[in-house]
Amino acid sequence: VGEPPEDRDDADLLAAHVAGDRDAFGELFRRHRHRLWSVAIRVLGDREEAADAVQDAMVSAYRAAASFRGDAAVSTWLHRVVVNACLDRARKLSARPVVPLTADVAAAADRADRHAADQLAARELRSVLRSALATLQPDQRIALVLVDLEGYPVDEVAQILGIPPGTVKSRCARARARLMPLLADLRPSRASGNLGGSGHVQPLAAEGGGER
Amino acid sequence: VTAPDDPTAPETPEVDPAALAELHALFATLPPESMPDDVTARVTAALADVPPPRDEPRTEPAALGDSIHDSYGGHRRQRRTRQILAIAAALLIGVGGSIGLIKLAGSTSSSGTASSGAAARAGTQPLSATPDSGHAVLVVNFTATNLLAHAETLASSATSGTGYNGTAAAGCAPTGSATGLTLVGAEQGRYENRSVLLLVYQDPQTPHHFEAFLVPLPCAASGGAATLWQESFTR
Repeated sequence: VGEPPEDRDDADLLAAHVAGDRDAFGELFRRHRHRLWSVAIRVLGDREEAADAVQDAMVSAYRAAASFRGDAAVSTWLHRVVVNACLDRARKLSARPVVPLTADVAAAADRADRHAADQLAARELRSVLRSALATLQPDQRIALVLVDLEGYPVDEVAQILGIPPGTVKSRCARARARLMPLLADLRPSRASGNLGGSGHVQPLAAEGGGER
Repeated sequence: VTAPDDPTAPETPEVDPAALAELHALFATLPPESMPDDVTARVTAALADVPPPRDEPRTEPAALGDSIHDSYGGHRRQRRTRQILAIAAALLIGVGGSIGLIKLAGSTSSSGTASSGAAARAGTQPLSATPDSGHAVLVVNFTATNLLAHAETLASSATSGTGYNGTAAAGCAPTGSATGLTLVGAEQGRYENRSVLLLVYQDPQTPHHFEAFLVPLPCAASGGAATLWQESFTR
C-alpha cells in the first residue's frame, strides 16, 4: 500500500485488485497489453475481432481475479484468458463460409512473387502470412502463434493452453507442415533470385497495427 | 524438427529442417504488434465500468469506503477520476478530438457531447468538465444499463452503520422515499444530458437491503428532490 502501481509486481497488483484497489488491474492491463494484443491480432487476423476478444478477456479476468490460485504466473493466466477468448472467436469465425483461403493465399503469393524483382511489398507479405495463418485450425494456429511468432517457451504455452508440452509441439509441427506449401514461393531458397538479390525477405515497414 | 511426445496425438508430419528455418525467417519479418491507442482506451473504459470483484474477502474493509466519508474528494473518487482522465487522454491521442467537451459552470449548465465509439461501446463515456476551480475534472456518464452497477459499487463501499457525510448531498434526499434509510454513498455524474447525483441508502433494519436513487442537480434548497431513477437491491 502506498507503493506506486508501476513499482509493484504482477502478483501484488492482482492481490491489490482483489482487495479493492481500483488502480491495480489497470496497471496490469497496461503492463501486458501489447503482448496480449499481439497474440490476439495474430490469432484472429482481424482488428475488431481482436479488440473484442481482448476486451472480453480483460473484463472476465477483472471479475474472476479472486479465482486466480497462483499456480502460474499472472501473465500466463492473463494470456490464458485472452487465448480462450480468441479461440472462442476463431472457432466461430472458422465456422462461417469465407473466401477460399488457400486460393487467396496462392494468388497473393503469386502477386508478391511477380513484384519481388522490384521490391517485395511488405504489406502484401504480411497479408500473405496472415491469410496463411487463417487457414490453420484454431488450436494449431494459436500454438504456432505463441511458439513461433511470439517466442514463448513450449512449457509456458502448455500452461497457457492447459495441454501437455508434447501436444503443443505436435500442433506446431502440424501447423508448420500446413504452412510450408502455402508459403513456399516466399521462402528465401525458393525466391532468392526475386528478392532484390539479398537472398532474404526484407524487414517489413511498420504499418497498420505496428506502432511500437 | 520438433519431435512430438504426445502419445495421443496422431502422427506428426515431418518437415525439412532447412525449410523450417526458412519458415521461421519468414515469421521473423513480421513487425511487432502494439495495441493501438484506441483499443487501449476502449478496454480501459470497459474495465472502469465494471464493478469491483465482490466475492473475495476484504482484507481492508474500509478500503473502498473512503469515498463515503470523504465526500467527493475521497480516495476512491480520486482513483476513479485518475482512471477516467487516463481514458480521456488515450482517447484524445487515439481518436484525435472525437470527444465532445462539456463545460460546466459549477454543477449547472451543459452542452452536447460527441460520443466516442469505443467508449460508447464499452458502456461508459467520460466527459470533461470545468468547474469553478478552473481545473478540468471528469464526471461519470450514467446510463440506464450501468446505473445499478454504479449503485452496487457504492453499496459495496459502505461500512456498516456509517452514514454519508458529504455536504453535496444535502437537500438531495428523494421526496419521501428515503425516510428511515441511511445514506451510505453518493456519486455525481451525467444522465441524459443533465447533471445528476446517484444516492445509495441502506436500511438499518435490514443492512443487506439498499435503495438507490438518481436525482437531478442542483438539489432544491428546501430538499425533496424528484427521482429520475430508483432501484432496490440486496447485497
